[in-house]
Amino acid sequence: MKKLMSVLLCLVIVLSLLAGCSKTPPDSGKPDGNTTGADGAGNDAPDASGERKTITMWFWGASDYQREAMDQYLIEGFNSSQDQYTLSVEYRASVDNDIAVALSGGAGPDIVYGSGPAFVAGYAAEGLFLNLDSYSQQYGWKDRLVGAYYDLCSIDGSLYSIPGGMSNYGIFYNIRVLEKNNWSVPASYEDLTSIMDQASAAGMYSGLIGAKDWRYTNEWPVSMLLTSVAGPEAVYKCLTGEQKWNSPQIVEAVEEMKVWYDKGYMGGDDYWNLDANEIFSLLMAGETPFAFAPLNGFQWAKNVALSEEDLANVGFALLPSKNSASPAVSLGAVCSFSINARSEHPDGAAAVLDYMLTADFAAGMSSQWPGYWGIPVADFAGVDASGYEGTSRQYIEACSNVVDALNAGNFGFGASTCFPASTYEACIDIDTVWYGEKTPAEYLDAMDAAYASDAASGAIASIPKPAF
Amino acid sequence: MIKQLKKHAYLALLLPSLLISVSIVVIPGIQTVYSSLTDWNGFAAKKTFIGLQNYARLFQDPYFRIALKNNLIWMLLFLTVPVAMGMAMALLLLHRRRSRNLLQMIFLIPYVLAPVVTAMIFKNIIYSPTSGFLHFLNELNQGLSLKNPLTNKDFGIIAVAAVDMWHFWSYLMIIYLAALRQTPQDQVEAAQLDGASFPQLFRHVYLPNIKPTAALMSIMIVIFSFLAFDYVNLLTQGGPAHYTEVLATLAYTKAFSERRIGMASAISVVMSAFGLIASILYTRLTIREERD
Repeated sequence: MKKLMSVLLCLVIVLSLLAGCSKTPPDSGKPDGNTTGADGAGNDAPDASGERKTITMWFWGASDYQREAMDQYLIEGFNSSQDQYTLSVEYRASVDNDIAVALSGGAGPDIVYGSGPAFVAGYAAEGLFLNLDSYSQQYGWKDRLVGAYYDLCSIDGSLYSIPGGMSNYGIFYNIRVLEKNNWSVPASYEDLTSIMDQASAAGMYSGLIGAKDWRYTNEWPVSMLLTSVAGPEAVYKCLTGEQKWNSPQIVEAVEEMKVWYDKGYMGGDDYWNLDANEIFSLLMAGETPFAFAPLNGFQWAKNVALSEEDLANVGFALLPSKNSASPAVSLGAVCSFSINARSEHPDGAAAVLDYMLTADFAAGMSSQWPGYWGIPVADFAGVDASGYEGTSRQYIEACSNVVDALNAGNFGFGASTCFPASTYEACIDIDTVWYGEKTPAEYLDAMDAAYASDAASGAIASIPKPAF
Repeated sequence: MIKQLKKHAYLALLLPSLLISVSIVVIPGIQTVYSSLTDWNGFAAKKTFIGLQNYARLFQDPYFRIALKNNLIWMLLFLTVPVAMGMAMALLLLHRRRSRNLLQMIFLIPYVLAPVVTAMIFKNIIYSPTSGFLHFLNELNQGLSLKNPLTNKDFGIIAVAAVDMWHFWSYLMIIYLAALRQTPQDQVEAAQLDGASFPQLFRHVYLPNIKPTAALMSIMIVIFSFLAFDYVNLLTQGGPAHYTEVLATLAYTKAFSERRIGMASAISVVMSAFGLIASILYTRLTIREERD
């Protein structure tokens, strides 16, 4: 009898296991308090009115004040702007990998957060993202987005994503440190390096970038100096296959990257010991005149500022070009948003994207969460920054300046946004040049090989042509 | 019928674990081996069979060679440092009847800390020359200029392994202590009566008794060494300049940054091969011991 009971027990266990293996809808699980916007309801679940459909979106694990901004300006803003859809945002610390796994398995949210337009290319090629041309036409997105970003988010002429906030690199400077030392905001590349040399002689950090928690921060100096030293034309030609990476202009830029590393323009050895928040702490403490970062730097400044006075003491300027009179901004976006090809409510997802593509939304989000939501809409330049205060005002002004430069076609290319996957991975190996493991030519040969591999797999996004 | 059921009841008992093994080990394992022979990017519907090309490319990849070398260094370090520390401490604790439990608990604290906590302690408090212990030493003696060992070309991998060893050694101590305590007391007493010194006692009484446990732990260390990932990823992400790259971080980069699942699978197969060799060695050792 005991053995019979054992057999029955085993059968029960096996059946339980099999039941556990049965397929469940990907969004059916309640996301343990990390969802806001739709009371954890699943797709198609009507709310009290019985009409609304739920649009799902996954986002990274934002902090409290960031979630408050999302609640106020995105979720509540969108939900109250119409009566057909309810936006539900789920915060996931590992959103990048979760999205990749979910899409591979034929699931995922309606709105797909991605790490940038370059991320979209591979998925779009496999038909996992919806072609947004009809929505673009319906809502007039082509006229509303800055042209360079519209092109960047397109593949073979069709739109597959919209960009998140701009992440163009520039110089964050300490106003008091510059004044105290009679330095002015660098107007030329020579001014910049001269001030950094003087700062070093005065016992300060020349400038700072921090890669402690994220080796991929290497992309910052690569993007900055490719734009500033090699120039937009050379990089454009490399990204479109017209020119090898291992070519004189790019070699010059890579050699300059080594000079920057060796001279301590990025913090010297402390490049590896500091993170983004720490470099902004040191900037505010007057330990350096400059911190180099993308526009997201404003959010790090806000994270670590001890007072409003600290924030007011930080300014932002575009990085001067070495071989040109006017500075070019490196084209970059903190993220991208696409529509899952398997979405049951693509119209609703498109309505959310349309809601994001307004200067009012970008400025509203930026008023509470500066540094992340400067979406490159063409009329950003028309936003009246005087209506905002502190960092938000500085951020909105910086975004306006960047949009002006972009509208003039004066842009280079940010690595994480514009480089295809393998080329991007190869560019991160700039530290092999800094440590003397590779010569600039060997490093660039590896980028050429990676680019060839990307081209063979069709993973290259459309590259907008700058004015040259 | 009942008789038949009784006869095969053990099969039913095996079934749950068999099902689990097949569904989460065997099937994904076979899929991984197959993927390693394709150019799959992780989301394409089509996997193109490319034979052994991924393996050929892998063995030409300088970063793969660095990663493999680092895994071997990792293995050698783990087979010596924590083993010696764990064994020495287990022997010291063996005869401390009253304080043994308290000391075991204290030594075990690093093992129960989450890897991310341990990594943050070392990264921000111990290794950091800008705010941590190294900074304190540099400030104390202005002539000193200690740098973050994680960024050192020659010792970076050792600095990362040191963090994992700090976390791991007490686990070995617990295992060795448990094995030492199983040594028949009559053998120990007989040796002591014969005037054996402590080294002789260890060599001729304790060691033969704990040999199966020590061998098993060594095999497990070899297997774990080729799976090392968490501390490397948390502390250096394989950098700078790939100095601390290991096979698992390389596979992760290929899979999730470059979207080359085929290549990542090939690396995973190589990692598993080392584990398999260790397992075969262990099985052969066990069989030989049983024969003897």
